[in-house]
Amino acid sequence: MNPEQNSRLQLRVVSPSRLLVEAEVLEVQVPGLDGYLGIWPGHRPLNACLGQGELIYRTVLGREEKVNIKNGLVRVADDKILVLTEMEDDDRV
Amino acid sequence: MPTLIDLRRRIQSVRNSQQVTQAMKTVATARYKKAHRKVVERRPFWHSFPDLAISLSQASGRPAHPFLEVRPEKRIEVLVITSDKGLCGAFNSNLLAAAMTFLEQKKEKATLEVVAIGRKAGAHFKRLKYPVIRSYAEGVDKKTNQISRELSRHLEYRIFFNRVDAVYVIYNEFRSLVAPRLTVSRLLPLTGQAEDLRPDRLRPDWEPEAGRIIDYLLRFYLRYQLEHCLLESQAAEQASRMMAMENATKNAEELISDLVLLLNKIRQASITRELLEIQTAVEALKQQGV
Repeated sequence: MNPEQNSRLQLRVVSPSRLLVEAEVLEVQVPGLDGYLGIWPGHRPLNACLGQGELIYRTVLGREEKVNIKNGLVRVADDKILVLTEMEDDDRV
Repeated sequence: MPTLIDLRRRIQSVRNSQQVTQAMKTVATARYKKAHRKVVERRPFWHSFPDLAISLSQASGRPAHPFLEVRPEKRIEVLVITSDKGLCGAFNSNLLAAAMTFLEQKKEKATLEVVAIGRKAGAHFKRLKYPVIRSYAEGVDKKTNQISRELSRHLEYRIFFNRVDAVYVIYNEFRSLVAPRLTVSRLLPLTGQAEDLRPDRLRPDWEPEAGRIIDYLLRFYLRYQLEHCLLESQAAEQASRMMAMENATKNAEELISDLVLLLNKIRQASITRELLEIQTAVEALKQQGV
């Protein structure tokens, strides 16, 4: 990992019906098609499809939070994570 | 000159209509708020999506997906989205007029097919010579989800099997309360500006492989783009209905005040006339020296 890199990630989770999460986080785990993917700062660029499950992220305060997602796509570039998911209304954990 | 009783009846009837328009306005306002919230909540998604779709598909370095392939437009499919119900001002008539202009324009160079969404569109195209391949009427606002799913499957099929070259959608986009914005836009093939990709220092990983992700993403896009258009149209419909009913209520108010003025004038005139008659009779009697 490059030392000058930020130790935080910008996470943005959107579904067609609304913005689910927009936060600065330390770590994210997303349910990939073949199991969970852990994403830490300095992750290399990645585009991946998602399955169904909980997206878990740790906020800058160190608290762990979860959001239910179902199918979708994650894109990681420059410590920015964009998650698009099909999840419909009000299934928030 | 109308008689007093006629005028009273008329005032009463205008008042009844006013009550109806008032009630309809209240209902439209409630529905508008709901529809508007849905549209606004969706905006973050639409800010991230189209650019992402395009830049990803360019970055994938694969041959173009059928959704992105621009061909000469020989066969065009046009989606026209109207409302089911009327009483919303010029909402539907403006839209259908725009749709007709568009169709006339394209008619010479391409074969056209129409998908009519909403009862008003269905009724309109029934009388015309354009082939309507699908139509949705009744409860479009309740079945938005289902309709967008069905339609996107239908369009995928048409594009993949090379049955159409382009798909346009004509709908009222919700911009402000005052007036909806008529929008004619090309749904497919998808074109646009790719977000400025800094050449990544590292080539991105794809999981699963790029082609499948792009395919998934574009289908996803199509379906929710359709849903988005339907929802925009619904919010715009309720907003126009709200405005139309507000104007109707205001007009009724004015009409009532005019009628009441007229009524009072006539009543006063008749009182004056009667007074005059009595006075004349008194004078006449006086002169006869009774």
